[in-house]
Amino acid sequence: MKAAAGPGAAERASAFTGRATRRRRLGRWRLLFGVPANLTGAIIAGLFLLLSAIGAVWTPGSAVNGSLTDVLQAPSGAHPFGTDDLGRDILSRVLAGAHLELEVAVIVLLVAGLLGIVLGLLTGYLGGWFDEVVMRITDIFLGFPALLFAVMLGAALGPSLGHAILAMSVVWWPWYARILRGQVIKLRHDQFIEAAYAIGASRWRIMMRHILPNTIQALLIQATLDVGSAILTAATLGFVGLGAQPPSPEWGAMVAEGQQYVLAQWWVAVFPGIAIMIVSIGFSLLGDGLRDVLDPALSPYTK
Amino acid sequence: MLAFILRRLALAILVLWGAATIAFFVSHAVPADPARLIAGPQATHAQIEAVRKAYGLNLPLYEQYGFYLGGLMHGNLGYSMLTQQPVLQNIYDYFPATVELGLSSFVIFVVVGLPLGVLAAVYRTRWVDQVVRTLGVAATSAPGFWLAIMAQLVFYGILHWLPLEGQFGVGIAPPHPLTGFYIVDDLLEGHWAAFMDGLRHLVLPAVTLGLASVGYMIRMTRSSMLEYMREDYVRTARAKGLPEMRVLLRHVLRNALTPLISISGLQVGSVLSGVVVIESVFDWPGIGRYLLTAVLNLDFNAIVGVTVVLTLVYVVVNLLTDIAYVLTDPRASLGESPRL
Repeated sequence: MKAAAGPGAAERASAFTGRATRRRRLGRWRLLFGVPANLTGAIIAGLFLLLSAIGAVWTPGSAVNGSLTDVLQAPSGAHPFGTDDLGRDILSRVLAGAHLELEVAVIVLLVAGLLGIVLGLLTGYLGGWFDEVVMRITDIFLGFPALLFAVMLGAALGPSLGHAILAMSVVWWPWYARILRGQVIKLRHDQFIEAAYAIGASRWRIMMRHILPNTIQALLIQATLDVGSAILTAATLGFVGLGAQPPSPEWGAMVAEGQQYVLAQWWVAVFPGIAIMIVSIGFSLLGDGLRDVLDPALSPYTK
Repeated sequence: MLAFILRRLALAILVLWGAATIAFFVSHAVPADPARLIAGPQATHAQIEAVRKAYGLNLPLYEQYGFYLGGLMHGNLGYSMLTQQPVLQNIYDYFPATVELGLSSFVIFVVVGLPLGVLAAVYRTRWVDQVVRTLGVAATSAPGFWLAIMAQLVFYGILHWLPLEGQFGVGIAPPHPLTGFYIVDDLLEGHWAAFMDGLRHLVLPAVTLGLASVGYMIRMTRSSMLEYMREDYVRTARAKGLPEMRVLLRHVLRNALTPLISISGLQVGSVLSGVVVIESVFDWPGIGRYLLTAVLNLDFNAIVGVTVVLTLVYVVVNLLTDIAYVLTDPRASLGESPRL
């Protein structure tokens, strides 16, 4: 039944059992959104996407230019999140930052995901010395704390958001290569692959048409789960000064700016941190939910 | 089993070599002119040339790499630009504080994570499970540096219960180093007040560091418990009328603990990453704060040295937990990896 779980399989099957399949698919969505945690995750993720789109084009005040008569104002009607030490509206900066965090996460996960797809497919399907070499390289990368490497690379290249993204991509791809390789090896001996081989499909065709589409699901689940950790890592690099540089409204860098005022003007550090936490929680919950519904075998919560 | 251990050992050596090599090339080949970086932005041309000579940076890269690897073998990590001392000496001085903090965070990790994981397993799919799951996700999702600042705000700024930062208070002399761990030394030397003061300084950093990975502990405990709850001998134990508490603790939990050994290796990785920010926020005189200071001052020998040493610690701990896991559960050596 594994083949039936692949994308497109449901549509093909629906030619025969339309109504039953539709009910089953609806059941899947109900399974996903019927659980309060999953629904919460989906709502947070949706709101985050919406707000980052809005924040990219419009914010209530300026995210970069402050007014020196409004320095370190407590939250009020005019400034719901207060203002920072340069008199900038923190709500505007948090909104503008959403776009930045999303951009970092998307770039890192795209680069890592694409590298992972290519290397995972090749290693899983070809095996041999190539597989051995690539897997030992992933062992090295997974064998030491990723943040240390990112910090080291950031120091060598000089602090900037671009370098932080580069450093994160370099430490992120081994995970995806591993996941893809595992999926490919699992699929390689499946009957539908053998059938494709038997009717004379080329290696390339089998890889692109039969194996790749069946691995996308695992990849999407992992990517959803990773949005939160990518944002956390970017914010951590920003906090220690190796990520986005001032006056960029990156959330981690904003917490760092607020740190010195926290005992008197708590709002400067509190709100960007809450934003990081909520977004990270949202994508974790959504990713967990997707995994429960789409790939129950991987889930620690369906036992 | 021996084959498994040898394979793991070979892998550990490979990872160490790889990390050392990456650290070398990142610090020597990535910057356009490492000598300029080391000498600092205000250095004159002559000073830069002097640095280039002193550090052998005028040699071809492969020769520098040879010297570097040779130095590593002998434990020579070079001199720190910032402290003008051997990097190894600095690491030796700062390490005990980090170990003290790391071990304390491990206590938090187990004391909070294990009971919550057991609760979630026992009341699975009920509201207790959902609440515990959400708490775990929230703890994992909160940025460590922010949590640390919030802890300072609440427990120092508002409640005045705990000190803001540092390892000991004003007017408290650090103990004579016996073990190097302040609170242990205080206790051994009978300085009760100093011990309590040290403990109060330790609470916030340890809790914030431990909470970062407590979600994994909860999740793994839960799934490990559930796995063993389905065993036949558990049904037998219930059937013969043992109290539920005894069944859960003696028959399920005892077995469920074994796979959790490898989680402790994971916690070490999280601690080694976490100390960089947590120690900086709490001004804790450990290796993480040392690393961050080195990073902000582009002290490359120190950066490379700390990275290599921390990788060594991580690799050795993971090797040991893997071996411990195989020893307690020989079935694991037959599988690909004992990691959950």
